Amino acid sequence: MPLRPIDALEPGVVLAAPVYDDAGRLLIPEGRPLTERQIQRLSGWGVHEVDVAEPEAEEEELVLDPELLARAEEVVAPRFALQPMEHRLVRETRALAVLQWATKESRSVRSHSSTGGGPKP
Amino acid sequence: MKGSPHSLIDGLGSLASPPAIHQELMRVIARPTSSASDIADVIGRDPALSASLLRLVNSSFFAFSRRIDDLGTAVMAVGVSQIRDLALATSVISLFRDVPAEEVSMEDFWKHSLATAVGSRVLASMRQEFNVESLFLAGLLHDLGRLVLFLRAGQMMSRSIREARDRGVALHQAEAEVFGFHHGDVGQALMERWNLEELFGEVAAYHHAPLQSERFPLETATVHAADVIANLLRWGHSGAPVAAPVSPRAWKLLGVKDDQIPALLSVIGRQWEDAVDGIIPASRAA
Repeated sequence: MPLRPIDALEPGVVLAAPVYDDAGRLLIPEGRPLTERQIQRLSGWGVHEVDVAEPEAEEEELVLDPELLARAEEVVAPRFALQPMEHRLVRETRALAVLQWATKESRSVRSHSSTGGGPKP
Repeated sequence: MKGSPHSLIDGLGSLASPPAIHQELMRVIARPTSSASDIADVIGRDPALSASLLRLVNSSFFAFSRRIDDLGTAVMAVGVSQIRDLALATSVISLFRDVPAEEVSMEDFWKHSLATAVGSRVLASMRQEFNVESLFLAGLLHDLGRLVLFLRAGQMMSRSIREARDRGVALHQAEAEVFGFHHGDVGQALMERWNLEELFGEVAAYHHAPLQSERFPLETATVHAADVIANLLRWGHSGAPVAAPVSPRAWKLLGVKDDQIPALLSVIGRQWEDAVDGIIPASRAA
């Protein structure tokens, strides 16, 4: 999660980590969109940069290639071989395992094509 | 050579004793005059452990509204027996970090154990249990016996893994065929030797057959479910080629509603990443 200087902040950006003052008091909690007023106050509190959340991941997860999902099904199937398939926990876990594999795979493909073959995440 | 769980532990050398920090903490906690700062002093002598504990206490695990920068405050905020359990969990990982196993790296093994620990803790907190950290520790230690098997009988362990993979059976079943007992029995023997509370050994012994646990069926079912989830999602790796099956009756004991499952999985996943960052700082969860 990137650190961003406070003069590059816009209202609506979400903090990835809470902001504390020197005495350890919580100033702004993580996970909530910043308001204009909070951004203005930051420099008064002596805060110069904050950890911001990256919105990209979740938005892009929604468009996964059906072929990739089909491959993910195949990859995760063997490890589910002994499970009672109709059990709700198993079904939900399997859906997540498929999504998890496909997401990771599509990210690594993307980072390969954009950096010309970087290290695998 | 078949031996017994106890004979395997006899040859473990210094690992047959619990981490020194645990013994020291038990002594300090047992003294009626001890304070939070005495306990913090003991932990403070181990800088790596102190750093890990502070990272954990400040993670999404506890979600305290203030940052906690010193161990004394951490002990008071988290609780004495909870800190003791977290300290034991953290020190066991470093005690067993160099086990040579061809089929699984220690990093993956401990990530799996941490995912099970976090899952057990989350499931326990859904029931509003009092000491959720004891379930965290029980989850963390559930497969410890497998490390003893790697250390003391590496070739037989490799054979068990091959059998499990080739025939598509659960690894504990293959171990039982090769050794005459499985990693759960070995874990129980080790934890008895360490003088841990009975809960931990029993959970290890029965985590693949939770309803056979006489004294702690609910706790054992909790770790059982968390273990299955971690294996199926490949959060870390226990060494088992195929995940052992979930017991629907054990799952039912936990009282988790069907529509709670997706949120449950996502909370465990997120807290697991935080726990990995806190306890195995050199690596990342995903």
